[in-house]
Amino acid sequence: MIKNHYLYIVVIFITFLAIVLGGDGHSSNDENETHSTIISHEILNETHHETTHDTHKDDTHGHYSSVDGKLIMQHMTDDRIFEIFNPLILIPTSILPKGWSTHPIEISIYPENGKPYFGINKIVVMMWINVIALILFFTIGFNKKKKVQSGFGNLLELLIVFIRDEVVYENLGVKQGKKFLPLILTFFFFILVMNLFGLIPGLATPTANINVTAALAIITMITYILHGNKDFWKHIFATPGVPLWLLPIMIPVELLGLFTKPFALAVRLFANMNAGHIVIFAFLGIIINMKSYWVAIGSVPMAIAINMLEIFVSFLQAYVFSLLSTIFISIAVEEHEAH
Amino acid sequence: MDAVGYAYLGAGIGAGLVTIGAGLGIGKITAAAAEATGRQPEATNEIRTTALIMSALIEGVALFAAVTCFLLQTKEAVN
Repeated sequence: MIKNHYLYIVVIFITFLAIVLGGDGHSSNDENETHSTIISHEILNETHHETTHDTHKDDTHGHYSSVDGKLIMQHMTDDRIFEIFNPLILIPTSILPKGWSTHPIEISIYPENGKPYFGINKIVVMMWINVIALILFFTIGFNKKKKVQSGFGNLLELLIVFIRDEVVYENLGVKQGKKFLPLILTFFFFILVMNLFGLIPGLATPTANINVTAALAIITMITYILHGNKDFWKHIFATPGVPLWLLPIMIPVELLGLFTKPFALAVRLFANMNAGHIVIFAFLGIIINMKSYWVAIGSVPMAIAINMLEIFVSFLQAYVFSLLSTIFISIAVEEHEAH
Repeated sequence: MDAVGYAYLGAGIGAGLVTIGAGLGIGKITAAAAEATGRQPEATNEIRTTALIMSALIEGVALFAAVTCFLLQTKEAVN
């Protein structure tokens, strides 16, 4: 429908940017700041702190002395701080000189009364890092001189050919598949890199934030609304084979179905990414809860095993997102249905 | 037991029930996949792909409910 695809890309990019940069709307000045590597500062905490349940409101940046559900929830929803792995937090506070803090750069972007604020936080910086990494992977991995790629380019070609043949051309056909192939490949690789980089300790997972996954799902929704066929809209507003008196019920239901599919995409990716991190968190938090190092003998191998499972889940969720996006788009653009 | 206790209880019981549902669903798919592979070992790759995709979809639904249970024990929901 829109002939010039560059305009389309600009619209999508602006939508993505607008949604993703949006703040959570948390009024965050009553809670203390959490670290993205909570384990290291828990151990830091143990060495010089007696156990209290209160969180401190000084500028030693919030020490917690017990891991509980609130902590996990705060960690999940807290991306206020521009903090990727900061090696300074590994320095025990006792040997830190006076007046030096472990967070020399503190960008406070949330105002006092907690209204949503467009700002740069950990998630956005992480996405930029991932985009740069992805561009580097593809430009370095592609060897122009060779006809058949080898090395890293071989691996990328394996994934690209898999998505192209089994996901896009299978569901959309070759002619229409060529139109949507860049979008689906972008989805797959972007989500894959975001998921995988989040498993590195110290980095963040952008897809573990509902804003990011909602932005991706909204891109899918805009794609299949903009490219919808006449048949597609006819199915929604005048479903064939339905008597006229049933239409006032069918039309809202069908319109709702238009929105639940991207919602399911967003929540599926968000919940899968968070579930793995929470389980790893819980296993390593048992060590701190029991306040003894011997628990680590059983707890760390379990956390490693869950980490392996998480690698598999990242691939699977990227594939499922791309596959379902392709299927939704194929429903909207299929032609020549025999009624 | 006051409302706060009920909220936490609901979160816990909900998470357990969700696991029952997810386990039953994925178990049924795996049983069908194993039997189909036994009947026709040449189709094992396609059966494996189908089983994996369907398990991911069922797990998505289970994680919806897990997220809901998780939201039940936040500070905003409990107070």
